[in-house]
Parts: sequence; C-alpha cells; structure tokens
Amino acid sequence: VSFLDLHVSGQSIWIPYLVLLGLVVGYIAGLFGIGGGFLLTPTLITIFGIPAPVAVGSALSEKCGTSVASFLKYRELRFGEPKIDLIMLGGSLIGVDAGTRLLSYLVSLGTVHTGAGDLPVVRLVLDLTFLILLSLMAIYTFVEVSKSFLSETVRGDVTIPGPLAKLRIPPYVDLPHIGLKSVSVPMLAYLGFFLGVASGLMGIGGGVLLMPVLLYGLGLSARHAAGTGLLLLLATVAMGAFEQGLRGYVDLRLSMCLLIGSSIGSQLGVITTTKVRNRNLRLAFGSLVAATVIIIAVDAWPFRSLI
Amino acid sequence: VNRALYALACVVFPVLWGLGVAWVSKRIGRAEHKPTIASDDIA
Repeated sequence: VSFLDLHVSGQSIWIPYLVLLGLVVGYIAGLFGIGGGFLLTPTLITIFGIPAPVAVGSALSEKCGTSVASFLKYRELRFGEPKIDLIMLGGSLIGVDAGTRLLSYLVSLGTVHTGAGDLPVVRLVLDLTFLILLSLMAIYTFVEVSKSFLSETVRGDVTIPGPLAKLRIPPYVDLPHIGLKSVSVPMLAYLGFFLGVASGLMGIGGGVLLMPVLLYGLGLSARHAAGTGLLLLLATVAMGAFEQGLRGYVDLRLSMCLLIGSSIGSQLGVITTTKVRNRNLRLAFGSLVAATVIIIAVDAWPFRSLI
Repeated sequence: VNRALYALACVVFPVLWGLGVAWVSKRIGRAEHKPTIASDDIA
C-alpha cells in the first residue's frame, strides 16, 4: 500500500517494516540493558539499503527518545555518579562534533570503483569500523560468559578500583557516591571524547562502549555502571542529532517510525529480563553480535579487494 | 533558519516522545529492570 511507504533517499520502505525493526532493536535494548544503536545503524545500511550518513543521523535522532526515557528511569533509582557524566560531557561534545565532521568528510570523498560495482567511501569505512567494534564486543562477551561458566565464585555488586581508576594524570576528582578516590579528570575527558567521536561517526549512543570501560576500566559495581553515563549519552546523541540534522543527514520520519517500535519493544525486553538468568542473556547477546558481524561481512564480501 | 529548525525538531520530537513513554510506563507500572550483561550478581 503506497501510503504506508516511506521514501528515504530514493529507497522506498514499507513503514511497518521500520516499526518492526524498531521493535526488535528496542526489545534487544530492553533485554540487555543497553541502547541497541550498534545494531540499528548496520541494519539500516545493510538490510534496508539506506545511505550510511542518513542511517547514522536518523539513528542518533531515534536515540534521543530512548536515552531520555533511560535517563529518567535511572535518575529515579539514584544509581551512578553524575560527576563522571559531567566531566566526560566536555570531551564528548567536542568528540561528537569531530565525529560528525569526519562523517561529512567521508561523504565528500565520494565512491570507489571496483569490479563488484561502486561503493561509497563512507560505507566502506563504517562497515569496517562496525566489523572491528562488533567482533571485539563478541569476543569480549564470549570470554566473560566462559569465565562465568568455569567459575562459580561471583564478584559481588561492589566497586573495586580498576586500572583506569589508578591512572595518575592530575588533576583528580573524588567520587564518594560510588566509592572511588582520586580519579584522573583528563582521563575521563578523553574517554568522553572518544565516545563522542564514535557516536557522531557511527550513530551509536555509546553505551555499548561505555559499559566495559565503567565496569572493568574504572571498576564500578554493575548497578552504578548501569546508572552512570545516561546524562552523558543523552547530551551526546542530542548534540549529534542536531549537528547531523543541520547537515541534512536526519530523516525525522524514519527516526520516529523506529522510535514508535522501540518504545514498545524495550518494555517487552525489560519484562523478559526478569525471567532469564544473566549468564544466558549474555550468551544470547554475544551470539546476536556475532550474527551481526556475519551479516556485515557477507554484505561487504564482494568489496574485499579494497581492504 | 529552516535547516536549524529542522535540526532542532530532530532532537525535540524524539525527546518529547521519550518523555511521553516514560510518563506512560510510570503510570501503568513497569517491570523492575535489572542492569543486564553486566553481572550475574544482581538478582
């Protein structure tokens, strides 16, 4: 039915498919307690054939809605340390600007010609970046799961200062709410910068990168790690969506269709978490990320001669 | 100016939607969420 078709950059997409994609990504986000943006951008590019910059911009716009809901939820629960958000925010706002400029630059490079056809440079770079990021994430998750299967001893939900918390680059800040002392301010600001670049370039919220850093880098307890960074993510995606909107990379209809689906999906995902063991959840998460890696790799295979 | 307004809309509309969803889910009662993929230690 034509009135249910959405035309995005020359592609005609049936709106219920977009809502369904939003529902699936939202369900995964609710189930695993992360944003799900790392799945959304590659899916929009690879399966729906949406141009990479529009997929990135629209995913960031969609994340504005999901991250405001997460922020409100965790603010009520009072988990996390807002000082970390505020320090990292300075770096991440510069980072998201840098990431957006990098995306624009890649778009300006045009296409590369190969025997298999023409491929936009931005698509090539994003495919490669997602392949590396998601492969590392899948390996990391499987290692963590295998550890939990091998050992019955659990860490406990406490903060144990990690390697990043012991880094000695002055000035320092005390974070009494989460039990950390003398944490390096420049280290946090640089972490925020890299998170912002990833957000602006790839259209991800950044939670998927931030969680391992908070848990294993700084050593935060699981509850505090989940509650930290939500204000940061909200501000980063809002800045990113605005900048990319200015450049014409955001299709608001597309992002709202995705958001409608993901709002329902995330609630269903949250309900499911209460019925499944975390270890099994992480195993499912690792398998899902590995499947995404395979889909991107299969899609990029005809262009392997470029690498 | 139009482009700036559109860019602003790209942030404001999703945020308003998110606020609406947060309000509705608070009203109808939400399943308690545990921070997942993080730790087995949280029941």
